[in-house]
Amino acid sequence: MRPVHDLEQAFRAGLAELADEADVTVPVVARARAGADRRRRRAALALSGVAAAVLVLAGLSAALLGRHDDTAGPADKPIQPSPSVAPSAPGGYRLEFWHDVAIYVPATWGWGSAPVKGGSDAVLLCGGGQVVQADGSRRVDPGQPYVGRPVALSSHCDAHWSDERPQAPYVWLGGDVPTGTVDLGGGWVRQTTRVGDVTVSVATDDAALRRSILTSAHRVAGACEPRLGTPPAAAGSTSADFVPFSMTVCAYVPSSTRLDYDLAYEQELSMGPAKYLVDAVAHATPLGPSSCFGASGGEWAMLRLRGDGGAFRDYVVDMSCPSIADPSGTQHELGNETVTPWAVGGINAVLHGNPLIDVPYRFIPSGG
Amino acid sequence: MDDLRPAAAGAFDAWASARVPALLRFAYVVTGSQAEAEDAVQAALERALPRWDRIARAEDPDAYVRRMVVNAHVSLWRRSRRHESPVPLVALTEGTDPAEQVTTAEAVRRVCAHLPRRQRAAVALRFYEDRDYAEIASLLGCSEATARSYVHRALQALRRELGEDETGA
Repeated sequence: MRPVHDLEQAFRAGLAELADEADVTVPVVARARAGADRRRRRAALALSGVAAAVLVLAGLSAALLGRHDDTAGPADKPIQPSPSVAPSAPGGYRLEFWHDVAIYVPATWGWGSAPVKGGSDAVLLCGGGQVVQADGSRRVDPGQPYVGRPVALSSHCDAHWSDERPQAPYVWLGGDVPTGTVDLGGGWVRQTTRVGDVTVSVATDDAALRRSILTSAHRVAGACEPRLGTPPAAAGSTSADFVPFSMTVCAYVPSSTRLDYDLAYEQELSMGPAKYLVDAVAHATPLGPSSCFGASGGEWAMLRLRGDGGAFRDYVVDMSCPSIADPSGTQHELGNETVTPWAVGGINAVLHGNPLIDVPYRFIPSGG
Repeated sequence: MDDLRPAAAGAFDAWASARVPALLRFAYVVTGSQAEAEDAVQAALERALPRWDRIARAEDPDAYVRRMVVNAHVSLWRRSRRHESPVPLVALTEGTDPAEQVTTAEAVRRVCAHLPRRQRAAVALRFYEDRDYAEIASLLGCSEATARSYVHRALQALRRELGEDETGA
């Protein structure tokens, strides 16, 4: 057996050889200059737009409230504007994760359910056709495309989902769906493949879209660990000067064995929500260092904030407590301010709420 | 944000012409993809440019920008990820004599192609950049023990790739 030193030398030589393959003639400096110019212009525009935004905020809120009158969420509570979500992938697509598999779907799609095996071994699609919107609200609109996960959005279940022709395309990630192709009639086809242990189903009448989504499915090892053996722990910088430039949201649910936790959702958010969260946690009511000690078997979110120079801060949200813990070990109340920065988009179709979290339009309602 | 002053712009240009090729090679080793390497370096330079005056005064610009390349790679790769595999795999078995000995360089390439991204970054920092574990941990935002574990497991993977098992068989 080779000594470790030889293996290390092999890596050094191999990586040096690999490095020589890089094309170093690309005009990356010119591109960076152009990008920096664009950033500066956008920043100037954003600053000049702040005053106008403040003036129209009241009107916008009124409009939003009116729109939400038609949704399943409570309409009598004020809506707190969510910080913006980071830009989606180029071409109008966004990445969606389930366990260790990711796919690209059109950025405008909502989030819903996928079929899952129930206690009687029947495979059910539970959610009553609800589709979660980017702001966390829900809408029953058969015409809206969505990406679904094997999570019950409500106790309203359908056992006859298999041959139903939809009115809009959908993707099911991790559903209990057999692989193969099902002709749903009228040109609609649902095709299911398996990537690792995860099924990916796409139903649409557009063959090109179906191919595009299915071929985008790939296994990943990214910012969020695909599986945790123990609940996540808060970690990283406790400095009051910590300034984040991004936030990764990792949502975990108990695995089928309930011995560990699977990644159910992952999202990259921009500097705005990250800074908002830091400020909100700093001002949130502390619950003490271990008020929820021993909580287990529930759902978790890990919020990894990154700052300059490799600095990072991991907040951990225990949905069953409920609380958000900072790296010092202090747990804080979950409320509007500490939830809305990160609970945007599909995480509201994955994690279950808690009666103690009183934030409109966030998470799957307790009791379905 | 202030425009870059002419003196700082000149200093940046001088630094860039000398150092960007090496940065691109480093980014290629970290990301395993030409497109992602370009994206990571570009993102790092974009962030560095407006504050170049301070960066050049305060610390080693090379180290600063390399750190930003790693950060950009770890935090931004999803937004710009193309539909491609990190590092094209070399077909070692197809069309070749199975008995033919696998070269060490090819084994390194194959191992790197299958490493999770953070672990690959740790290996690149350790064996391409010769960084110590404390620096790697700081760059990746993990503990020193985790950084050691990343590298240790990569060495084990290379040993397996070379056909040696842990028992010395």
